[in-house]
Amino acid sequence: MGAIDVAATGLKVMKDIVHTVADNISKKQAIGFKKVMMQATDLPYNTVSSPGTIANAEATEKPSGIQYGHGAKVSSTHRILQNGELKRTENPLHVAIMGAGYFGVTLSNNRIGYTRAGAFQINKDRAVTTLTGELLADGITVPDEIPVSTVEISEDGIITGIANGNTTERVEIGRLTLNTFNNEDGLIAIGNGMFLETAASGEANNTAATEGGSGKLIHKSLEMSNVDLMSEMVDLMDAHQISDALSRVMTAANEMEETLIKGK
Amino acid sequence: MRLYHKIFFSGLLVMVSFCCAGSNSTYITLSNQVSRASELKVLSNNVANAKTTGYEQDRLLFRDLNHPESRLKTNSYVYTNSVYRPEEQGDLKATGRNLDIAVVGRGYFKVLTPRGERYTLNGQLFVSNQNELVTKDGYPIASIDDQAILIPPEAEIIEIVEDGTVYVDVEETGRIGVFTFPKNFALAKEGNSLYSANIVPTIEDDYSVVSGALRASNVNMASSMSELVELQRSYEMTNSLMTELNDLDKQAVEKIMKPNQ
Repeated sequence: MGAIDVAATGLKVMKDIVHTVADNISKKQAIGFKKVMMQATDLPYNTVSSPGTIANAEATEKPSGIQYGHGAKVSSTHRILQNGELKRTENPLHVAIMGAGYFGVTLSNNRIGYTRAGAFQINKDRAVTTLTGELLADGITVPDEIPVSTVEISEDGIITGIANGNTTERVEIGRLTLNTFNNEDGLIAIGNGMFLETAASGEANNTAATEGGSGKLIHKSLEMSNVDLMSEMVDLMDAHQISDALSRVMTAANEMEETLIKGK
Repeated sequence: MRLYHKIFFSGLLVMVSFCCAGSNSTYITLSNQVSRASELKVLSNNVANAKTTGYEQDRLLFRDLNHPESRLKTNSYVYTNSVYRPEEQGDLKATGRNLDIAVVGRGYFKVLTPRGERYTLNGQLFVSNQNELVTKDGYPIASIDDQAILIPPEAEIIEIVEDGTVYVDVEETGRIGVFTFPKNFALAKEGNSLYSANIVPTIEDDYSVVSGALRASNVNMASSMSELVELQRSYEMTNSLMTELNDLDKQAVEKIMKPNQ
């Protein structure tokens, strides 16, 4: 592989980094979104002589060999799982997680999806759903006689409300549970802030909130994204600068080859 | 034979010997061009890996090569000797993720791959579904006694402290090993941020492990670009030298063919 092809692999990595930056920035306002970090790694090497081989003339071990690299590739994307900032919304059906847990949601094809976006609403049957209308796996319905505005959710997920005409007595409506994973990084994102479990993540451990590292619930708040514009801009500038350098390498390699062919 | 004939022939002799040496000089200049091309290949790989976590840049070392039977003892060719890696460390890039770790000091993490032990500077760790602390490729990272480090499934907070000890909810569960090789010992690069070695490293105590940051590539854009300019100049200069040598050869041949002019 010549210098031009090697530089091209680098350009492709830079392009993918810019793509990730664009994606992160565009989701700056998405509830519960975790920024994605792209990691690059080096491609295999062409070993002309390996370190430790016996050099003929000196009959000593060469301390180092000759290896030509083939460039770089994207190795992984992973989410930075730090909690985002909380935003107080005063909506009785908004709840944020301070910890590593996920809400379970029943998806259209009966699969369970997991989300950290705790912006809920009720549907025509007064069942609690996500903003896209999927029912919570916990199956919570706010009874007709309890106005939504009286709903309170405790740190450990117990949902209570006050029935019409009764000004003091709180009635338990249901309980929100959380799900944790052995390997949170192994979840796969399917859009709408929704994730599915995979063999890599392991099965969900369904626990009560505040137990098993799932975190406590903060009522009437939402978790904002943890995208930090400053660090995204730094990544963008880096990628831009490196792309510039790579195209200069390509031009130089091209000129050198041209000189060689023309044999001036 | 008249005098001017003698002078002419002696001059021709010098030219012819220059011409023979000339082919030698063509090869010598050519050896420079080949070296510059290899250098560019290495430089290109460095720049392509400017964003690769834990990447250490390569430099090529050249040496002169003499032909012992050569008439002209001072003639020497450029020859690629070996790759070396400057010891300067890349910057630490803060990620704010507890399981992103970096070594400060000379030392590598050990990765237990199915192909054997490998070494890396990329300290991006994950907890696998087997409850092991693994690298991005899913290979366990070795503790100081070459074992995988187990993280209990109910773990809430995983902390990695300065000497590499892993605490899960304040309980000590293992210590990530940092392995040191003798100075000037080149590990063979394997790609995928992995190195292989054919000697056994030691555990020194002159390092520290930082959690919440990754080791960035140590490629310096500015110096890479000035190297690029330098090698381009060297290539162009040698190229014009080759052209002149070629012209000399041509002139010599023409003179021999038409001695009366």
